[in-house]
Amino acid sequence: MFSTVIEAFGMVFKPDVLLVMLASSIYGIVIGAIPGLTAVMAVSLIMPIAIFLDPIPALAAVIACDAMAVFAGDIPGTLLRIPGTPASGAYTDDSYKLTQQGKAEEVLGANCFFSAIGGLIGLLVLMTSAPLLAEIALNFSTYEYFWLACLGLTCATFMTSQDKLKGIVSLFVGLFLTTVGFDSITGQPRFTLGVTELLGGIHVIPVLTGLFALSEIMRRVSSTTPPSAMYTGKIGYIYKGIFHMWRTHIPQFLRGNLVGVVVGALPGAGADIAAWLSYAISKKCSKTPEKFGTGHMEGIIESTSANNAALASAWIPAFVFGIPGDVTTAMVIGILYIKDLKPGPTAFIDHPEIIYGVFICFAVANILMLILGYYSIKAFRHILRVPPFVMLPLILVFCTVGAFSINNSLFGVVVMLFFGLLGYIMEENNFPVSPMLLAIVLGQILERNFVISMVKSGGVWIDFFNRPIAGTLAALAILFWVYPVLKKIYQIARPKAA
Amino acid sequence: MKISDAVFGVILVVFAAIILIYSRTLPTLPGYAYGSGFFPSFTAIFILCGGIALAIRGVRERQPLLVLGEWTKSLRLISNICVIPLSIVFYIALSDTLGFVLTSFLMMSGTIWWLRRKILSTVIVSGISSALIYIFFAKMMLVPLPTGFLGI
Repeated sequence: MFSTVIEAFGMVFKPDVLLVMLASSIYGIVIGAIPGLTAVMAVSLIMPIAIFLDPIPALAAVIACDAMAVFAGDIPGTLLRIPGTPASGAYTDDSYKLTQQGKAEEVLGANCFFSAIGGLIGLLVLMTSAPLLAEIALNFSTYEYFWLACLGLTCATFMTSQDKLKGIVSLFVGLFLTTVGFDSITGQPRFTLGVTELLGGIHVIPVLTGLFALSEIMRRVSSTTPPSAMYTGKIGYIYKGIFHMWRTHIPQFLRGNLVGVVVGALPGAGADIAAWLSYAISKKCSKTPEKFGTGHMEGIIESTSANNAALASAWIPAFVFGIPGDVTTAMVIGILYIKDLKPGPTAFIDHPEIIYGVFICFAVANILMLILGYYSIKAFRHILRVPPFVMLPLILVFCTVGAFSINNSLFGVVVMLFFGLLGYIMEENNFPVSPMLLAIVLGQILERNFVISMVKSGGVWIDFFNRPIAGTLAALAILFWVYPVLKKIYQIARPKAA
Repeated sequence: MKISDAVFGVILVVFAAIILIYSRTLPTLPGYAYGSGFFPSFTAIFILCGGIALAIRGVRERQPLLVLGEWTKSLRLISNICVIPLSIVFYIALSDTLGFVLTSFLMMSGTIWWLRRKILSTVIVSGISSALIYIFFAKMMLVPLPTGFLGI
């Protein structure tokens, strides 16, 4: 193991990898700091480049970009009351109220410091739990993987959708889309409409650039919201008194990290949910809940720790089971498959140096955040000065090249355009797009494990339940499915009983 | 632009019906009752149920079939939103003939000019960006971008 760690260090601490990390960090900060451009969009735009890089620089680019974009989302939230990313939205009101009280430096320092520490704690959990879980997962069969995929998709749908019905529809349309192309079991072409390019299926990269980037560009150019006002106050040294703040907020810090790593590790959940849940828990547990929303540091520390802790722990299900923890890790799984590095428990045996390399990249990215975060806050005014109507067409060309470069074919651009329009219509009508993307990533895993399980069991359904872990996962998934129905029945029955 | 759930419901029901009909034509595994059509049918059943539920909700809540968004009141914003997909269609149609550099320059400059109406900065930004993207993807990442009559 020691030699593998040394090898991983050697792979990460190369000038080209460090340069990729630095460039992706700066890029992540710029995108994250621009109101309306999300961390997911930042990562989705980096994907067309990542697929041409070696595995370690590709994964390092995603890790650095994601961590920085999630943190940078706090900057416009604090200074302009416009959260840069959905995760920052949880505590924007508190941050902005503190800015109005002349405490912008304090808030931004807390955002940067606790994000970085949260990220390191998430990494610690990833490092300790992933190898242990991988050993257990080595005994998994198709039944367990089938239920894990079900559980991941269920969590993704129920946690990311305000309108559950539309979330379910989005999920199943995504699952259907994975059936386009050759069936991996029988080799039968399906739903290709005579288009040769569809025989290989629908590639995830043009889909995600369409769903997340193109649709966002369309929304931004048609926005009726006036441009945000520039922050004019002075920002000095942001880490002044940070250790005192840490000492006085230990319970919030610990709780935020705990919620972050647990939520992040749930298949389908992610940093956004971790931040909102953490804020709600912080308010519930606070001795002064009435101060929340009026400029209170407790909720900020708890949620900002949680969202970055969730980033690392979201890699646990991705690495151990090949089931993405969030949209970003769904994209990472796409990269791993392209690089012929199949995620799953055998990854810890087949290419452990990549796993340790990822751990090191997380550590470097979070340490880098403390330094770059400081300068990015200073440079925020300049970032906002970039006219969005110059930035958006540039992103558009970038998306087009990215979609083209997947198969060196214009068909990728056509797919991106289709999913861009679809994503725009979906979001305008409150259909969440995340379940669709996760379904596209997980659909083939679900179908393959299901069909193989059916063949193994000779069509006997009970075999899906009679292995201990498969049974437990099945019970959890079914509980998720029936809970809303039971709740509804209870709500209808209760007034009658009263 | 809000479309009624009832409209989405009907579209989904028709879509699911097509999947179900087509799936029945797909062969099964030898000796088994399921095969290539099983999983698409499984997804179609849920899409069908979701479509029916949405249609019922749309009708029950008497949602208007179409509510136009704020942006539809401004001709400028309507054209802004149309220019994005149109610029991609432009790229799809002409990149093989004009080559990447010229197509991306025209695509970017056309879009930036339409959105900002500042000709000088538009030309400078588009020219530099197209060249940099070309160098990065075609020369460094060796992506065979369309060459066109100029050879770039």
